[in-house]
Amino acid sequence: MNVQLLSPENKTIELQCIPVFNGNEYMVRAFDERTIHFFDTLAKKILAHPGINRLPEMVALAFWIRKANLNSIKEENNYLFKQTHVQLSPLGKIFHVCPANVDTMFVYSLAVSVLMGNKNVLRISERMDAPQIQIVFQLLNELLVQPEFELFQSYINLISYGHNDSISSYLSQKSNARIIWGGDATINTFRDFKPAPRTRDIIFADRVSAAVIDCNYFNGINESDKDFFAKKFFNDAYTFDQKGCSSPQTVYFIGDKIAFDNCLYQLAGRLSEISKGKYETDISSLASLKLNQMVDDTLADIITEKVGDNYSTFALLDKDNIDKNLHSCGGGYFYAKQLLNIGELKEMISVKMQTITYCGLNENQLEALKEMAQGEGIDRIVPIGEALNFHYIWDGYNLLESLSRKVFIK
Amino acid sequence: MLSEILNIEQYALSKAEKQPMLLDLLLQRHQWHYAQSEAYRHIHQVVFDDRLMMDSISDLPFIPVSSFKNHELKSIPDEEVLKVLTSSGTTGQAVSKIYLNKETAQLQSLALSKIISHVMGKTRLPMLIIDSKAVFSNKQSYSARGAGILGLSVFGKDHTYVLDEHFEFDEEVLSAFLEKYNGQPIFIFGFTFMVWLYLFQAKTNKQYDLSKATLIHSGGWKKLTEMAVDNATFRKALQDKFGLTHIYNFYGMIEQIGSVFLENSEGYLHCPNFADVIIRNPIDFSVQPHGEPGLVQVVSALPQSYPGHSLLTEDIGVVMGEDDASNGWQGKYFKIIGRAKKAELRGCSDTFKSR
Repeated sequence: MNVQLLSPENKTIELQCIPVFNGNEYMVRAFDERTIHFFDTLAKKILAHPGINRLPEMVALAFWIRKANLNSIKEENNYLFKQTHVQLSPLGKIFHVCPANVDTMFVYSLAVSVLMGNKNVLRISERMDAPQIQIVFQLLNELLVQPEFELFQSYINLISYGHNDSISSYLSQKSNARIIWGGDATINTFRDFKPAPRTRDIIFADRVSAAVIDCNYFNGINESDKDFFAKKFFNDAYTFDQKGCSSPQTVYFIGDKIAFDNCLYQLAGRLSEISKGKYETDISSLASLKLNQMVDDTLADIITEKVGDNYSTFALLDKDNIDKNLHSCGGGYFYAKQLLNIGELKEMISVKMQTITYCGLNENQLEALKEMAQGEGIDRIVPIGEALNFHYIWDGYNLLESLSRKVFIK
Repeated sequence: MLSEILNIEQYALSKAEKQPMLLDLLLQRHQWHYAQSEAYRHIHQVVFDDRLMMDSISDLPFIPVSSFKNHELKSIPDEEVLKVLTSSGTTGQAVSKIYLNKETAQLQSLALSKIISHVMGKTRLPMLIIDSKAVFSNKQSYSARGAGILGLSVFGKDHTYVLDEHFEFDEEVLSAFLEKYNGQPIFIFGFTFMVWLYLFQAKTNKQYDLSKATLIHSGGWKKLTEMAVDNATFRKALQDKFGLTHIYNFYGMIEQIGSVFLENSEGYLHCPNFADVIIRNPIDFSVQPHGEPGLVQVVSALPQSYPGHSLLTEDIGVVMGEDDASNGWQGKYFKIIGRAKKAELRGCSDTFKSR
């Protein structure tokens, strides 16, 4: 069985021969100086790449893997390293199944995994052709051949192969943990590939996210602050065509009808203006996609009204709609609902709710929101503009803990 | 009124004559569908703000063509359905379903004959069909392809299909037909790419003279574009090989069968009296001025059994002029320059799409 190796170098290779399977020696410790140096060097290379400022998600990634940030992550997790009778060990070989479109996401989980001393094999979708990801591949490979980083050649293996059950089964059997991005369908597919009994599954299932805006707050701030929030919202929603799990699908507007209308029109107008300059997805396709979605939603009795244009489209939810997990066609098609107070949001929280981004909530409203997270739904509550910011605490996991083994010693 | 606009010579109405007549007919259709189709009414209310004032054709709501795939859109009771037309989608793809009653079916064949007779005359000619009889295998429901052939068959006699029941090309049938009618007026019809494959590229033993033949073809350029064949190449190749010059491409969709847009002498698609196009700005669906590209909306006075009188296609086109075509035809003419990419936006939940 052959696979295409993309990193540490580009070549076709026998599956059993990929470097991850070379021996069982784990040379680097958790937060090893050499690992931190490796990622810090990668960060510098990314930031020095021509035209990188046009790819904000790459800039964000680079900042995340800088030495300063990695050290502060270590600091925040000091309690893990300082427990009496506990020594942290790598978990072993980690098999990552990477998402096809949300390009940079898997690099974060890869970084966390290497930081904890694990060896990694990543299945990259054959359809992943985004330029940003090609940059990552190229820079990784440039680094891995340098003598000081050669040691990581068996720690970072990126491979690609078509739908091949034998390969997926083999990798599932041989790994100590699987990180499965890609939602319910992918997870169900991989559940059919039996892992070894002790293999841990870290899964990122289908999620839905929402934004909450206090209309009176938004209507009250000055024009440049409104622009500022609209830009933040734009980044959350449009960066991955509104298809990132953390990108808002529904926007809840807190306020009375007048405040709601005012806020909605101002936000829709601003988003359209920003999109005209910055959003590159083909507008004819968006127009077509959204009109179809709107007809479908209308005939399913989900929506009652349309606001905005084909760059920023808001579909007002029917008051009787009970579907808490609505996903739109993406590309800036938002469901919108007016709430009189934050308490009314409770009814819309489902077990699939991942991220709630907020704008203009006061302390009491935030408290109420935190209270709603005491249950089965909501994994993140972050200010507007931070929806896509990766954190090592994700979907309810502390990945640092999930990707290590605690050895009890007395 | 509808019979009037059908019976007046096609391509004879100027903008000032056509617009009020067509608007009036379309408003009648709108009111009919609004009353008869709950789905149409609902779409108008939610997506088009239940707009009441409609002073021009561009004020009508438009239904995206894909809606006919996902929803049963009709304005007649089930017992009135005469037949259901389906688009020829590949296996697994959703197909459009168009519900016809007797009235609409008759209107459509009448309309089609008005357009075709305009360029073909009224004499029935020997007809060569670059397709297979097998497209009619199901009587209750047949594809747009079958409907097209059936609609045009009335203009021909000695109907000859060059593909057999298994859609295999039969070269002997082709040669025999061309031999029999060599140099005489004949009518050839087929899908654009099939005409290319089975007429132009067929290896016949002999050179045939098609200078008196008329070719009408349709179906889009996607497959030929992949082979780097455009309309000019297509026309020149057929002229060089057979002396064939009477070539008419047409643009039309299953959702508005009968309302076809025939190529005029400049190679642009021309609106008949009872149909029109409006080019929509993709940002806000406002009407584009002539010369500006956008999504193509097609309107037709014919559809009564289903709400297909005003549709938004996924094609991108440009209006090239109105009432000033060089062959003297009145009405708007346009060209298709592309298609909105149907690519669905991909997300996190898409790493391992099952086969």
